Amino acid sequence: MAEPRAAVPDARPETDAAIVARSRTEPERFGEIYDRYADAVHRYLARRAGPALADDLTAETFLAAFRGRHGYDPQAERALPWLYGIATNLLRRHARAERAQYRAWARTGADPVVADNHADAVAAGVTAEATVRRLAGALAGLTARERDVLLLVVWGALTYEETAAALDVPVGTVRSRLNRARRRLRDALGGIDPSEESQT
Amino acid sequence: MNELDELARVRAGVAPMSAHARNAARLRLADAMAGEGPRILHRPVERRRLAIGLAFGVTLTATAAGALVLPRPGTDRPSGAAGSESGSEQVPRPDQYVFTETRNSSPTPGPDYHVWSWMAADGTRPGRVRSVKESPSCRPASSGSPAAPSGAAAGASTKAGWSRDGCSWEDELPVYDPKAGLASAPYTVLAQLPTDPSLLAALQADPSIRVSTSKAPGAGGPVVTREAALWEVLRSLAGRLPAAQRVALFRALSAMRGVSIHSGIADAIGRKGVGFGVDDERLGRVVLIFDQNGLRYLGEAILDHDGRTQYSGTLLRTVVVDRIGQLPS
Repeated sequence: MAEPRAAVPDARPETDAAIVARSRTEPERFGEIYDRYADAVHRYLARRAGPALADDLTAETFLAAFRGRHGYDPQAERALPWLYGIATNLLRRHARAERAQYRAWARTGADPVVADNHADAVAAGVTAEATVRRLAGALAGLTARERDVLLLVVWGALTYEETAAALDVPVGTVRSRLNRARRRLRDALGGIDPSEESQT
Repeated sequence: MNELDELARVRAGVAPMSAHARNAARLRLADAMAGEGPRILHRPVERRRLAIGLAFGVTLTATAAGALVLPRPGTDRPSGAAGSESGSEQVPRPDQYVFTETRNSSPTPGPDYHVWSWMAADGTRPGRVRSVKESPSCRPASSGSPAAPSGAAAGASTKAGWSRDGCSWEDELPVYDPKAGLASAPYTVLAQLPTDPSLLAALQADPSIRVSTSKAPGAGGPVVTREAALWEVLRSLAGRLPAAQRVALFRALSAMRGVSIHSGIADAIGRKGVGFGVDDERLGRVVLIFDQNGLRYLGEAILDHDGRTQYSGTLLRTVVVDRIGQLPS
């Protein structure tokens, strides 16, 4: 039985920017970016397009990121907004399908992407299900640009500045698109008080 | 609670990325990484590791060094191999190749992969690996079976990368570089490893073991324990170990601290054996499966938190052949 090796102090982990920079001359280093963010990117994509499509799009996102790594902003320490931006661009090829599944969800109450959501909503109460259906309807009614901003902020948990970087638009544009999207959501929820519903 | 909070709850329970999907995407990226950039010293090493990882599971990277010891597991330990007999196992000549056939599969939707590899027994010549996707779109209508390599032509081409139809992938296994460590070592190097309990010390000292005990700031990078890093190496080499070293490994794992024992676990084709598991934050519980006596390595399974198999790498056969592309009858 071997004795474990003595503990070695941790080396300070490299920033994403440093790894991407190194990957320009050592391509295999880009695998570390994948290991850090594959789960997060897949989760974002799965919430928007479903797990099956997310599998393919996650792979495509990292391939596109690898090929485009020479254009990575060296000032951006965190690569996640950049990756979300690429993923969002790839999702645009499926914008029509995404909108259609939100519509179907709003119409039937059954989430065509995440099967368990319907059961969860039903278990949480009729009002909760109604809220989710209204939100799905509102998502279907947004423009693709408004939906991208809204879901990068809410499901991607990006700041306004990060969202602006991800979409390559000014921060002011992010704010205005988000405001419009929020107004549509509030209108959709008009007949329901979310704070009351969350207690059902 | 405002409308954004409400939206944040929507689809919050979406299923996480499966190990199968993560592996498949990683391999596509690996193919791109291997095919670009200047041919620097360690690139062939990485390519060799990645290609062998394709044949025997996943090859991952970590960023920092450190050490971590897991707590002592339960006491349900197998008795160990009955002996060190190698039976009728073939021992390759240095000029021959070790052929392995593996099937990587997952119960989740998505293609399985059938992998053939030919590795030079002494590592002085390039080898070859070929992976074929098993999906309805990749099955020849006439046979209904995956596009298996046929005869001497299989794996003998010099082309690397994906086929035009996206159904198969080939790459060269570069000549062995000792700097790569044991994960990509050929048979003649593995045969020099100890056949007693000191085998584990030799494996743990391998330079290819890379441990990370802390996350990158704000990045959520995975923690890679010493055990998980060791398992990554074992996953690559277990299917190619000579019999004496394989039995020694089985005995060592049976007594190793921090390892879970899975008695009676079955591989993807129903062969029952003994599994040795370690939790890997990147993948799940990675279980190496041997037959009951430790004489044969059957493959690996990656389990989720509920003990369900989410990925299987099944070693179908390991055979000595004379040339790349030759398939055993």
